[in-house]
Amino acid sequence: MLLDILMNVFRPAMLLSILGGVAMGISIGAMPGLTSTMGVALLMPMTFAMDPDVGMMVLIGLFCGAIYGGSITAILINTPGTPSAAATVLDGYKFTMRGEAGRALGISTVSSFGGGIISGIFLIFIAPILAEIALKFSAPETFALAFFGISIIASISGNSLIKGLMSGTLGLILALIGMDNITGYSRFTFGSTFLMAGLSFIPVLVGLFAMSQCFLSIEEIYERRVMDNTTKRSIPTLQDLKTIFPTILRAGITGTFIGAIPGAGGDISAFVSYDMEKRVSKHPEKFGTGIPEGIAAPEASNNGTTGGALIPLLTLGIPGDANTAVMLGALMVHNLTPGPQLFVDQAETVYTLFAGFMLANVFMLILGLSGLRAFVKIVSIPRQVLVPVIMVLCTVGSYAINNNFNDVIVMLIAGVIGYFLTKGGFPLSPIVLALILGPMAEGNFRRSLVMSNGSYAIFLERPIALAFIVIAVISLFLPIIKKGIKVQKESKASA
Amino acid sequence: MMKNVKKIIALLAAVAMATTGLAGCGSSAESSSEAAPASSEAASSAASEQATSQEASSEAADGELVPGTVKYPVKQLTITCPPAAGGGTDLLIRAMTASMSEYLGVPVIVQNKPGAGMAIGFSAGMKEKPDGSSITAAVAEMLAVPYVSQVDFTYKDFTPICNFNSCYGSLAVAADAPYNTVEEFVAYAKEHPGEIRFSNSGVGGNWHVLAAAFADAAGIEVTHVPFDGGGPAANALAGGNVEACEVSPQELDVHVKSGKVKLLCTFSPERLPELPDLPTGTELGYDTILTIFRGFVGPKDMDPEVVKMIQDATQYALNDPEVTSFMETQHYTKNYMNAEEFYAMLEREDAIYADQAVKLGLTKS
Repeated sequence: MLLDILMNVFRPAMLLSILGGVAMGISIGAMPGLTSTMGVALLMPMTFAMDPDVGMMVLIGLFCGAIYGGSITAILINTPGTPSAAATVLDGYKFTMRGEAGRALGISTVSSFGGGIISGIFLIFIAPILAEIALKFSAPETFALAFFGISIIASISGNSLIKGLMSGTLGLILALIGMDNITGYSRFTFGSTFLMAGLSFIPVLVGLFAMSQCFLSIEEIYERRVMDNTTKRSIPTLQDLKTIFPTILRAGITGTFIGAIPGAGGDISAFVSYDMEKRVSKHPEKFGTGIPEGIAAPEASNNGTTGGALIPLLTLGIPGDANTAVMLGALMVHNLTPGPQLFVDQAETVYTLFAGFMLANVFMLILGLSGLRAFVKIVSIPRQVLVPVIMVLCTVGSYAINNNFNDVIVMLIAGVIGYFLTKGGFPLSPIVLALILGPMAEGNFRRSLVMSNGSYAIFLERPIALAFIVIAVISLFLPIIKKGIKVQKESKASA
Repeated sequence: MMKNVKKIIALLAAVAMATTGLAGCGSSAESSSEAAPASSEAASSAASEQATSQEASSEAADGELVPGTVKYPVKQLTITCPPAAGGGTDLLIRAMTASMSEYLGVPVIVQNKPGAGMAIGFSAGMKEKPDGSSITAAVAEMLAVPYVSQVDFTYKDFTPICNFNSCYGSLAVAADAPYNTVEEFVAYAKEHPGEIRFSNSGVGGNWHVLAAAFADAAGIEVTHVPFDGGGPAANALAGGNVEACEVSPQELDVHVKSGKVKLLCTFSPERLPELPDLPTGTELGYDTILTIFRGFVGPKDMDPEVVKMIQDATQYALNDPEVTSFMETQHYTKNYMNAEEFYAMLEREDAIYADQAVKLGLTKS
């Protein structure tokens, strides 16, 4: 059987489709506004004519590649190519500003590979156990996870906690726009049908990061300020790899777990891992200044979600995120009905997919490392050329979301807001985090209360939910307690 | 070329909706399930393999439909599709367009206008010219949405053309629950008022209204828990987080097969061919049926001759072997209804939505 599977994976058509999928994924992921989900859906109809396993592998390859690809633009031009790379911006761009873009990309590539492989191991060996946990994840647990996620705002606020909280609150307020999920009441829509669906996330993300960055660059061009375009080192050092190894392990595992939870994906897990690394780090103050762990954590984590998301998809037929939701459709088209039966009836196909998944990560590593030098060149493109190109991409990407010009307007407004916030020293990441988590926290909080007939005890009675809430509370108050202890010690020492 | 570009862009669009999850905030069931196309929309559409083409062919039998014999009054037919690209409705219509175009002799193009619980798409479709240049894909939300959000249309603002696909809901409970029949379930629910929680696919959505109508008919007091789509609602039951769920048998299929969930009845006019042992609600005295339909409607005051051409084109597509095999593998049930039958169904079911919207306190304020 093992031999059959290897024979199956190592045939030219299969290898080519995995390679093609990964390559396409990296390009799609790197484009601001085009996400892995779009790529998977775009490619899905083309896989109908292929063999089921080959077709699925194209999609899985694309999924892995796109999640990694998002980090390329995050590092090089301070614009996350996909929502999953929003946390990578925090440290990634700092490397580029120092002329170490190649080093940063190398770290991101190795971390993404590491995260992917870890999730693959989980996928192969303990998928059924993880799937059972994922099924237990209902409204109270999801709320608790989101609540914990919101507490992360404190650690991604940069220099000023107050400004970070203000940004986060702005994100939460923006997330309120639209029809309320539980009662169907319209909020802040001012009678506009467009706003009823809420703000689309991609235009806001693209506007806040990419467009505002373009505005800033235009200013620099206008003032003839010259940016240092020279790139120094192009590969990570052995010391870097040693530093990030434990980070990759932790972040990869975290990513796998979060990926397996239906409704939570790479964007959330990247922030969670970044926060976690900052907490366990011996030098948390260096996060945000451009350190290897700051890239390794989000990148290993978001690629960890790729294998994680496949777990409930294959074992239960429940998609872990939007990408796998599209893949579920592809599986059905190929007459592979996911669920426990799939492992019995189609064991060979399933294990071929697992082997292919590992291989996709290897290809991602090879393509990423060999493309390093080419990617880095983007930084040396004259800004007068690069900025208009990015602006066009932002506009097209935003329009393409819903075929709706209103989304372009949203993107432009977000760009202007992002420009002034950056000028005022407000961090942008908390807005993004709040936009992702706000609706998740709110909807599931209220859904939980409907389930419990209004009793708040539901959040304390369920072990997973309770655990997340306790962690969130501890992480919020720990810095204050630590500070208190420190002050006490110092006063004793001075006395 | 242009057509392809549009398609690609539309597809991109769609999916992005799915990614953001924000787009699915609409109150109605399918709007959220559209956001996760495969999980729920595709599955819900995924109706039985059965009954294929019986009705369609019986209609078509009297007059042979020959492509190219009609003179379509305009140069192109655009189908406005309120659900997102990549979802069940979108995939089916796209599968049909090639043969519709062959029959009508003009290009047939699908344009997705998702968002706001499909209100955007219907609102746009209603305002198109009634000259045959544009029709709208009608789905069950067309009836549900006007009761829960402030929109400028109802089903009466459209010219009914035809229906081509339908599926129905079912009642599911946990596999290890103490009740094995609908009677036992209702008896249990009466003994434990307020304890039974029904998961549904979204507030005011089709499945919410169906569950409420059933609870009404059975005289039981239940709590409705809204989720983002039929898939998540089914998961909630499988994970033991609610006691019952009323969504389509297709959405529940994977959990039934894995032994976590059992079906008690379906809410269909007749027993479903793929589930011949499962009684219908009607047999048991609960006459609550809601159809998850897919059909075409046009702007008001369309020329009956143009309507006839589109009806014929739809039937021609349904008889196309490629469309047939697509519908079979994807579990779409062919269910052709002409304009009168379609309108009668809309009228009947609209009354259920109207009734439940008041009882559930959903009416827009």
